[in-house]
Amino acid sequence: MAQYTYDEQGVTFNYFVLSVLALFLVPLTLQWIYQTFKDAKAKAGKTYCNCEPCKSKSARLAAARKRSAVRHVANARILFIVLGWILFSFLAYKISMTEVHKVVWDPYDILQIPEGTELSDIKKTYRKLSLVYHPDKAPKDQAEEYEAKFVEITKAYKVLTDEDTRKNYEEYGHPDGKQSYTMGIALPKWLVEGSNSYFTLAFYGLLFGILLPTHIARWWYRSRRLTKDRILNGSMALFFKELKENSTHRDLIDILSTSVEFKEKLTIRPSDEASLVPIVTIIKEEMENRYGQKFEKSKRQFSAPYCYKVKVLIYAHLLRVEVTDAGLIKDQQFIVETSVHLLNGLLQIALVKLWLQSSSRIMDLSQSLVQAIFPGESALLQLPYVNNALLRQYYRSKKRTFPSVQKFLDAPEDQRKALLKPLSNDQYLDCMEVAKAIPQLHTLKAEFRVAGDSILTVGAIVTFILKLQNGVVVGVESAKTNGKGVEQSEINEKEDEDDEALDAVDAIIEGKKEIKESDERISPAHAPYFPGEKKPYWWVYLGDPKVNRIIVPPQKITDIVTKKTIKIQFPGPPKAGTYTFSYFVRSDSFVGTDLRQDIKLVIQEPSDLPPEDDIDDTISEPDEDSIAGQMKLMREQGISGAISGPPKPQTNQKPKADDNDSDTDSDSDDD
Amino acid sequence: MATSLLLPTAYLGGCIAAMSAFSFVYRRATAVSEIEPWFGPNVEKEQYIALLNSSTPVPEHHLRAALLRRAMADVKRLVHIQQEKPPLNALLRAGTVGDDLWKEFTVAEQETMAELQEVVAEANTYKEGWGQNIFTTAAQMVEHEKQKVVLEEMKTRKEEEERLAKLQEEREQREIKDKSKTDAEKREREAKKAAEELLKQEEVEKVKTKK
Repeated sequence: MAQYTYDEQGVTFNYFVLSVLALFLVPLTLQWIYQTFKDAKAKAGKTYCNCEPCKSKSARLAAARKRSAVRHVANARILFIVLGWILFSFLAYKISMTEVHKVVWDPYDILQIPEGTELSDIKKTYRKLSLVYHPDKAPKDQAEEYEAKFVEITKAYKVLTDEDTRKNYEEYGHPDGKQSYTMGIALPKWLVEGSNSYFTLAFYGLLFGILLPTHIARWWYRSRRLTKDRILNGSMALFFKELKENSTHRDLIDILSTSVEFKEKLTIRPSDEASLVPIVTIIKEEMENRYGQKFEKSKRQFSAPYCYKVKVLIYAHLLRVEVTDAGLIKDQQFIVETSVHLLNGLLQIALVKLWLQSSSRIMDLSQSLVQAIFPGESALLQLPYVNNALLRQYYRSKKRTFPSVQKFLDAPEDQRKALLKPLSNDQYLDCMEVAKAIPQLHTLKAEFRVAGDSILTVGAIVTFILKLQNGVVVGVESAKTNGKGVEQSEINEKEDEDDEALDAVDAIIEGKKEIKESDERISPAHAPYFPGEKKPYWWVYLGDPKVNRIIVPPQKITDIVTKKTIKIQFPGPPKAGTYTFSYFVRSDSFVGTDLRQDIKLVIQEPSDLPPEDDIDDTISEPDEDSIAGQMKLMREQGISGAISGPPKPQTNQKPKADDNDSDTDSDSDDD
Repeated sequence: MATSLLLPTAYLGGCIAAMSAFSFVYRRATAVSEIEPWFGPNVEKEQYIALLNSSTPVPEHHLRAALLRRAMADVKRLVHIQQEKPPLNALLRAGTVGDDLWKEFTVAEQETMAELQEVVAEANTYKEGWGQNIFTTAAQMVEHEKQKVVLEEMKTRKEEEERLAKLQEEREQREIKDKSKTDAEKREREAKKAAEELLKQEEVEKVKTKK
């Protein structure tokens, strides 16, 4: 007969709880340790420059980190970890203290002899033990124990010697024959007792009936309001309607200021209007003086108080007008950080519409917001201690300007010192350090290629290969090896060749990315006026400025540390001819580091392809050069793949597009 | 017997009550989100209708002109919708914009289509067959207006550039002036200083000679 027994002692239940706890606790603890370790490392490795804004920023960030860590996530997690481990150790202690019933009945164990002992030895041991544990010999207080032990010993002895009992034991695991069949449920009894059943039921109801659904519903509704890029749908709708092909920087700021994010999260205090007035007067003055532009409230729906506030604070940020009100400072930080994020949404829209001009303006604005430099102002303002007055003074007296930080670094030292005359020596060194840390990209190679073919043909999938180098590292190297400049360049050339070979292989065997170049991690950008930390990244894209169109939408490149090869694939033009594009490499966080260069794309008819035999001829040639020979082999192997490979994505894409079209058509019909 | 009936009824009743409460709340919540019109008010259409309904009789050529204006406005809307549809579709597929925007857009599209048909019907009441080519005329007029705007823009841009150049020049001159002014002051101060020093020296020499 089946009989349920609840876990009276709670041993099994405790085991269960213990293992579940361990399942959560161990990874959490490990993660926490790793996090703190990483934080400590990051803190140690961080070098802020010593200018005033940088110092205040690092102090603010540290404070913010501390505050948020103490108050929010980390705190709850640490609490959970600590409480969890306390509970864990308590349970473990409890389990170790409770005696576990021997489930397996083992006659050898009872007689305390090893398995497979001789019969005579068993008899001997039994006799000895039965003498010791004989009930008659037991001390008064232990009589019962002795008796039980004696019975056990006798049983065990019988099992090992008597035929019948041995059979019983072998069949049912017990000498007495079949035992009553019991089932255990690993729940403590108090959980299922009648008097507690309501509480248990209520707890379950609360957990699964109310808490879980509400939690999911809240998450669902919140995420439904956001797009994939975590921007509110309302904001994106506004952006879509307002962004025009020729939106200027001012228009973009206006559009940003209407974002629903600001409407919802920005509190409008009654004191704001008064505290904004002095800022507005400074902005008006600056705008008038510098650009001859008027700063005024925007028209139409941009005129809501929150829009105006956002606009004023963004301008104040870009013009580096100091904001003194503590509340406004916080608002400004929020606005600037959110704006940079929102710009990504705007960019998406501009890209889908293939507008080159507005896309590049959006990228401009991203750089400007991160560095707090008004669009069009000198890139040297990124450096610490440099301000407009300093620059203007220099430009006026020397009649010379530095369009980028790179040009500034290239200039002789006395010129640099002349510009930064008012700075102390330490400050000058700081400044130069920051200038050197700003990435200076150079193009090593830029070309179009079709996998497996030597020329570009109509309808092929063209791969744009762009090899970039961060100029800073080169500068350091050449300074080190001044005498061995020639050797260095030779080595570089060799590396280039190797890289080229690699490129060819990569172009053929798609999907295999080079990892070796991106081993190093990029450090946050020097952006003292930006509230948070900013990991710089780059957009690489092809466009045609003549018709203001983007040809190939940007790829985001996050890890240009020293060298980086970027490959962008796109379907080639449908007609043969020469196309002149420009390729753009634009940073999201640094001003004046962008690359833009014209490049020619020559597309030929497929009939211009060299016949297949030609390739065979070239294979036999470089036999003596083993690497080249291998390369050719690879190429040949790749051709078979390339012939069947490239057309595939095209055929895949087409039905997909058709599907979607028909979907949307039917949608609109339904409506 | 009584309990056996009571329990299922209570259960069923509870379920129905909970579900209807949810549906009530949900419907009220979803009803709030209204569809925002994509385009602003159609002024030309309203003007035309006002002219039609005016109590004083309006000459027919005025009505025709107003209808043509209305057709022009519709052409602009149609062009806008045709241009926006593919990118919006792409964005929606990529999950970059929400469904609400798409809903708004389809509503606007349907409205525009209906409006176009209305205009055609209206045009046919003046002259049979005008409905077929009223939009061609309107499109040409829109194109013409666009060119006018471009010309205007070029003019204003030129003016703006001139103004900025002038401003820059003025600023530079002002700065030079300021500089020369400060330089002059500096020189004056230096001259004064030198004179004072000279005086001092003279005095010292005088004292020496006296001794």
